[in-house]
Amino acid sequence: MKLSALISRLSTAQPPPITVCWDLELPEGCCRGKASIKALIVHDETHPGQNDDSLWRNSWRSSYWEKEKWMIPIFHAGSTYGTVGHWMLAIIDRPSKNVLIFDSMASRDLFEQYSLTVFNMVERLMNLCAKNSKLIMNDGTSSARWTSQPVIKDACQTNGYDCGVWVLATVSALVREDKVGTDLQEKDIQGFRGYLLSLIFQHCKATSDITL
Amino acid sequence: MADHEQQPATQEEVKTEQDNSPINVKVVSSVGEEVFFKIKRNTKLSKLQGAYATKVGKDVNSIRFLYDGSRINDDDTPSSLEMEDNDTIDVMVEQVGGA
Repeated sequence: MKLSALISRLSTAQPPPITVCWDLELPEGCCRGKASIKALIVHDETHPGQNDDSLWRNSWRSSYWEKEKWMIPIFHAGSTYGTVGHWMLAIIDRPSKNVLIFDSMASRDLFEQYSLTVFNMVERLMNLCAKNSKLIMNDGTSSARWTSQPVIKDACQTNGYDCGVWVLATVSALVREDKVGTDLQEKDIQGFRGYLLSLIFQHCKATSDITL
Repeated sequence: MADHEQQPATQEEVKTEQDNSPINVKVVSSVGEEVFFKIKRNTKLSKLQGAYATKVGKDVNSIRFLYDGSRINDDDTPSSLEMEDNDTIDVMVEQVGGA
């Protein structure tokens, strides 16, 4: 959704229960606390028509309703950066009712576009939980105000091929350090790629998937 | 007599036969297109993946198959994944992003 469409929706009688704030600083202690394993749900924006059955089928095994924080990778297939797509990451912090969008290119347009899309998915996931498991999630999306904020406001990526690795670095920081945003800099990304490769080899060796 | 020489199938053989009975599987693309397959429980799902890719005219390496949100590996079978008749497999297209 473009900013104009968002403003149009905000001006209607039924405002979305989320405040989109590019300028707010991350709240103190946001995403701190219980280092619960995160639910990981793939959001395929190129097929926004993914129906509820498919969404539930592909997410219920994660028991996402038991997790305080969710991570939703976002794939932007638009032509923003030429023919290549762009990976971003949404971090949902349920206790603080925050949707945090990590975009290594720090695009304000994409942040505003995906804040509402991600929140709509959060609402759908909560509704699906209630529908399929009869378990009501007490996040109260209809009565409480959610906020969306960018994780970074200055691009950390200047090349045209590292967005997915930046997303993985952000996932790693959250899972391993319970921290929103990575301390890595662009010069570190090549080394991080090598580190990821070594982890894959270790995993393959441990599970005997391949012979080294 | 000949009838006496014909041994009834043991319980184990019957069980094995039942275990390998075919099930119907629905493969659904991310735009909701459905393709139906019948596959034996002990047949590798890689066979189904190849057949699906051929049917829709895609390179099998460019698509991902998910069962209950988990990637299906080449050695998986309906039996190993504890699939049931009329279960659904979701197909996702590989997404390449850089910037």
